[in-house]
Amino acid sequence: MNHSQTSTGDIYAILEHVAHLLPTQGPIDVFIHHNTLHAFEDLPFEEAVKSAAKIYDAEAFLPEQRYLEEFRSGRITERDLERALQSHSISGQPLGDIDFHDVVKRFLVVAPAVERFQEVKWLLRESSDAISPQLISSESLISWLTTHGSCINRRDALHRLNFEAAESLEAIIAALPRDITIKDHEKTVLWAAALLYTAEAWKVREPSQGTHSRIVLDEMINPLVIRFCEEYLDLGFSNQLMPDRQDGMLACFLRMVDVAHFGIPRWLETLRRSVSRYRVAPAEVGSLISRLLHDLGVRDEDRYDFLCREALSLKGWAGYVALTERRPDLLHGQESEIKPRFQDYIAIRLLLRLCAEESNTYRSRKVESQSDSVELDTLDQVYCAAFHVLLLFTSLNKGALLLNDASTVLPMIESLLLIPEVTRRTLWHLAYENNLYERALNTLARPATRTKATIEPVAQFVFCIDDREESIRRHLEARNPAYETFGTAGFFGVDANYTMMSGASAPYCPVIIQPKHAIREIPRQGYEQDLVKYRKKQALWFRLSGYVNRGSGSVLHNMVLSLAGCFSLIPMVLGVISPRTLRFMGSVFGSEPTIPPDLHELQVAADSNAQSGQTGYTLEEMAARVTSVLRGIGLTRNFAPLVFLIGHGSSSRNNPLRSAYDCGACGGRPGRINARAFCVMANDANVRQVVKERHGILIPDTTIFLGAFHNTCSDQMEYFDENRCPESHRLSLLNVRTDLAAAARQNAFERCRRFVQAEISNAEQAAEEALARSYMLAEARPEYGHATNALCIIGPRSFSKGLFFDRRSFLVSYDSSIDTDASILLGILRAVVPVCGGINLEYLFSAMDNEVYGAGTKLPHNIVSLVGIMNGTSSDLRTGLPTQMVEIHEPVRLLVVVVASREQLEQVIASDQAINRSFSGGWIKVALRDPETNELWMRAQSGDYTRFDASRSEVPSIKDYESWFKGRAGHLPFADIVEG
Amino acid sequence: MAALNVLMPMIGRLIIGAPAIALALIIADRVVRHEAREMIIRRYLMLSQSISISAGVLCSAWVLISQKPLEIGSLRLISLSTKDLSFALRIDSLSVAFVLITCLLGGIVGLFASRYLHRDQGYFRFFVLYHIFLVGVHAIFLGAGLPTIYIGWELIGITSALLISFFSFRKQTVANSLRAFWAYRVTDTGILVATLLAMHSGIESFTSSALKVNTSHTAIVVACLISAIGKSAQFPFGRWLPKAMEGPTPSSAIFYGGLSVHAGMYLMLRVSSVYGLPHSISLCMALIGLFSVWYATIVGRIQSDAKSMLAYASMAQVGLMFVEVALGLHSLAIFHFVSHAMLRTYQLLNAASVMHDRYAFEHVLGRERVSFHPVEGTRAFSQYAYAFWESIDGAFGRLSLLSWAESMARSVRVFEEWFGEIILSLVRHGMFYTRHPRKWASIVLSRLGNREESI
Repeated sequence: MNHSQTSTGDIYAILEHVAHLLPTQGPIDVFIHHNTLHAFEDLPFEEAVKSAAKIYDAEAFLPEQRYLEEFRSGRITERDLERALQSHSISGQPLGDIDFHDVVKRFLVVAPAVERFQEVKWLLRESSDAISPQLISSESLISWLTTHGSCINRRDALHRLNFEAAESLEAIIAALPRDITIKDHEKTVLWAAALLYTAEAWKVREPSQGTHSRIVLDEMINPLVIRFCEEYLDLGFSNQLMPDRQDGMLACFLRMVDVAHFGIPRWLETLRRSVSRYRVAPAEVGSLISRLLHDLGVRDEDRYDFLCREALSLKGWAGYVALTERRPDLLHGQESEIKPRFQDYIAIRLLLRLCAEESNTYRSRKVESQSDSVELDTLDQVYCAAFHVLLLFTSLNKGALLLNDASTVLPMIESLLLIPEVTRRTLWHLAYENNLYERALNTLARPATRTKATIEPVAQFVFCIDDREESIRRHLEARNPAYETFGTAGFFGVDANYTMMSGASAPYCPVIIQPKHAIREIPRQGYEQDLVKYRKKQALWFRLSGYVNRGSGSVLHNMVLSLAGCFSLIPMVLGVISPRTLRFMGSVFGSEPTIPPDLHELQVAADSNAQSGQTGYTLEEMAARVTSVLRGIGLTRNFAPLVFLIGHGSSSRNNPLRSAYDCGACGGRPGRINARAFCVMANDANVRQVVKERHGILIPDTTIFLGAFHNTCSDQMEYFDENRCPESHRLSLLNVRTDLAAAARQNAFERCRRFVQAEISNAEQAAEEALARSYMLAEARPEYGHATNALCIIGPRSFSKGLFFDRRSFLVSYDSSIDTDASILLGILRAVVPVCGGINLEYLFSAMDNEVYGAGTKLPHNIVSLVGIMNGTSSDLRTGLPTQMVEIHEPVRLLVVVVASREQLEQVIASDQAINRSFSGGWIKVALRDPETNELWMRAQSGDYTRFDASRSEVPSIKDYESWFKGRAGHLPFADIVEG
Repeated sequence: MAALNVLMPMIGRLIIGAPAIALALIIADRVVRHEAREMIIRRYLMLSQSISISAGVLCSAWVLISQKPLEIGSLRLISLSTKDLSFALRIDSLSVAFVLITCLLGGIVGLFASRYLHRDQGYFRFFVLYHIFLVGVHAIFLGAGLPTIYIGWELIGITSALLISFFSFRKQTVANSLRAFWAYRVTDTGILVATLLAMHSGIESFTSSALKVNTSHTAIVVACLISAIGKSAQFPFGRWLPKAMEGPTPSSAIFYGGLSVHAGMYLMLRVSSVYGLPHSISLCMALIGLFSVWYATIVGRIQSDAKSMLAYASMAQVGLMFVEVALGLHSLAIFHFVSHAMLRTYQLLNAASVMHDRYAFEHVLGRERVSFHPVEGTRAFSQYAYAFWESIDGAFGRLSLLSWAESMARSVRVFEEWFGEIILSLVRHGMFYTRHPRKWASIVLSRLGNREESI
């Protein structure tokens, strides 16, 4: 056994490649949306989806039947299919006078929903008009078989085609030249099947891998690996943590095996006896892996595939280990105790595999029947393809051509069959997406003159770019034309760590930024006594609930708890029946972990006598941030007396993925403190002075910035520091608050149409429902989050004001006229591409194949080690989004519409590599609206621009939003509100 | 008063009748409409639960006020020459608490589930099984004789197994549900034997006159003890419980937090008060309970996921209840049951909150990373390692019934190659592989005919 340096070096390189394929989801108390297929980002989108489907054994795009349903309901039209076919180069022979593209289009559209030959036979029996009765006679069948029969006359070929078909064909051939009666319809299909079976398409079949032995081994190994990972990576859930975890995963595992005299599974006995052979120093784990691979009989060239399969067998856990190895800062401060290493994980798996393969248990289980015969699949596919081809020819009225003169059309059929299913799905998917893009661009293509407003703004509102805020912005603007809304990244430039009074600290900015400042929570002047009382109440409550919920593993403690268990009746009954009461009681008892905003303030400014660590912002830094936000949204003049900064977040109960509903721009947290801190900065007279002198933006003294928070689940608004508002503005503040509350109620009404409820008929009921959902114990869908997101519009609000985008569009405010060097656009796209693109792709892949890319259904979810969720008590770590979050999502890629000049856009794309890769790989689609000529252009992946000819006639005009969405639960077309 | 005497039994029948009728209506609606409608199921559920709860409260109040048991009624199922097998129900002071808790938890968890399982394609299946479960649990707690209890016992056994394997497309889930089902089936022989013995002596009804004799019927009690241990997941037969959390959260909550796991303890309570509890048996029971407490505490400490930890906690507390029943502290045992059922059901329903609750705790009170039982020293470490291996399969995994079957199959040569394979495969993958019945038929036929079958 020669372990040269190169082979070990190879191992590390191979492991790095393998780790790259794994999911990168850290502890889910902070959920970051990112591209699920980040490992394939260098490939174009369609290629990436196909490669990933092969590697992860996932679906590539949606099942064909789903697209057919959408086609039948009108969501995809024939024109969309044509366009998709044009963009894809598929060539083949025409069928008479029908172009091959049309043939393919018809072929896609008539696809039957069958998977097995029994289904075909049933359909033929039950619906006799599925195929027009162009029956062939037994003579022609037999004569055809006689001439071509040599292809299928082989015993083994028939044998492989399984009983019924084999019997029939056998009988036919054996009965030659005697007459034989076969049922008519089946004759047709049988004939077509026999014909197709000889076609090229079936000769290139790959035998499936021998996966059965791997499944058996996985069944033996995985429970053990899962348990071990759970225990090792525990962030503090269990009462008795694994001792000495700092020695590393492999060392701990071997220690466990060593000590287990009594209770180890039988097949691990050999490992226990030879534990000392595998105790290696951390630096030598690579050579241990090489040795194990050699012992397992894996050849050098197969090592990569083998290790891939090993890692992907439990890709959630493996991905978590690999990620926390690279980023120990995610371990909640426990990086000195927990030392996950991907190579240790692989070494453990290989050790177990080696033991398992040699054990009796494996041998006895392996002898079971081999699963998944290729042959049955082939028969099913041939039959279904034959049926499909017959349907095609019937619908083209060329049935006779096929049945009587097959040899002329056989090449064309072959080229049809050679189109892999994945390509068919890709075509459908492109059609599916293009339909949406067309509708969106049609809606956006309204003349700009209509939207220029010359009213003095009474109040301005800066929201996050989140697609959920699109609707509340519309409702707010509808209440008063003097309201202006803007959209910017929800952290409002405040890239800081937030330190709470209890000492806990967390970053509230996008994950790519490492905050260098800290904002502190300090008691509010004059309210110190109240604060102390509140904190005491809070501490008491949390201590009590900690005693109850934490458990201690001591018999006495548990017995006392279960004897006092009657009290849990209250939260249980109230949580299910009347969540409002529970919430009220919670606020009385101080069960919220945050301190009410009227009891504390934020210290944003740098403190010169701070003890240690990070501190706040200096004056110049504050001015720079205020300026960048204001310039970013294009608000550099014409300030209203009240400017609101509205952060957003969500509240829900019993939801481990709560952070997925919070603001992604704030790093998966609610945007409360960002809004508040920005207002503290922008209201400061000194800061305004610096902003005027240094950056040239004059903020008038009459303008007040106020912070607010929009809870997207309960649709409640929260306001901060209202006491700072001067008397002069109090009245308008009151009016604005009333309008905001009304807009929030309308927002709830618009959202509630998606929840299948019987009794929501007005906005008040909807507001009640939204509030209840946010606090209900049993609610698996507190809100739908970013589901249905599809667009991102970057430009002045005047271009999109009033348009109904059904909460599907991210809205970013941007003024290209002040952006001479395209730096603002660069900054915006640098945020939009990872954040909005990440959100879109996460939802897309979780909707595409929820079992592999998503987290499955929430129902059996179980929180494990405080880091993630599993199904039941022993399964892979589930990454991605659950079905309850993506069930209404349409998996389309994000279309970013930029209102800027072509030069600006191209400059930005050229200057940033990540943006370039996203756009040219097709991961995000781009369209451009020229602010001067008002033309819309689609940018292709190659960089070419094609003009988009909008047809406004297709865009419905509506009087008001409520009549448009009331009572309709499905997706709504985009619409434009009628002026006046 | 006399009117009430007549009325009360009819109200009592509503306790079990309401879920039964709701079940029938739900199934009928599905059959008639060819598809399940969530609104209808939800409506029937809520209606039947409210009726059941009200009836339960009324009857319990009646029992408590009038200080005598309420005979709800009996239905003769099988009439043999000398004996009758009847389905008889009654409430007495022992079962009042159980009835109330069943109605209450059944209603709450049903309401929870009707919301939680919204849009799941197994909605209909879940609620059919849920209603069958409720009927079974009422049969156990209201049962006036061993045959009635046995019927309820079987019903909750099968619904438990079917609800664990609710997501039957995962092989692990089905394997775990079969494990639970095996445990139930084997230990159910105990209660079956007890019922038969009781019927033989004519004492199967708890109010039968033959019971006046002051003898203790040891065999019946021992047989019931075996069943109780299996159902309540106590020490030798309890390994299925931590793995049984594969179903939807509300079913885990009501089965293993609330009702099913206490059925064994109720059986022992009833049986010990009716048939007497000899000292040796009570000693046995106490020892089993204590050992289960020790086992569940030791292994439960190291569990890193919420539902496993709660499963072991359940196991421990039920063990304590067994000890209480063995010591004759019936009121304490009942009180313990009431509190524990509520606590554990709530904790299981709330299991998805543990992470955010823990972090909220740390936000308010600062980070706490101290483990309550740090592992220091060799002895503590071996205990930790023992708990670790136990929670995978452990030594007693070797004693598990499934592995007995495997070693049996392995040692008998002929069977290993032929019969044992097929049976084992059918047992382990029965539900998973019914997609391809033809394959199975062909395999069996080919083996019988010794023909070379390439599939």
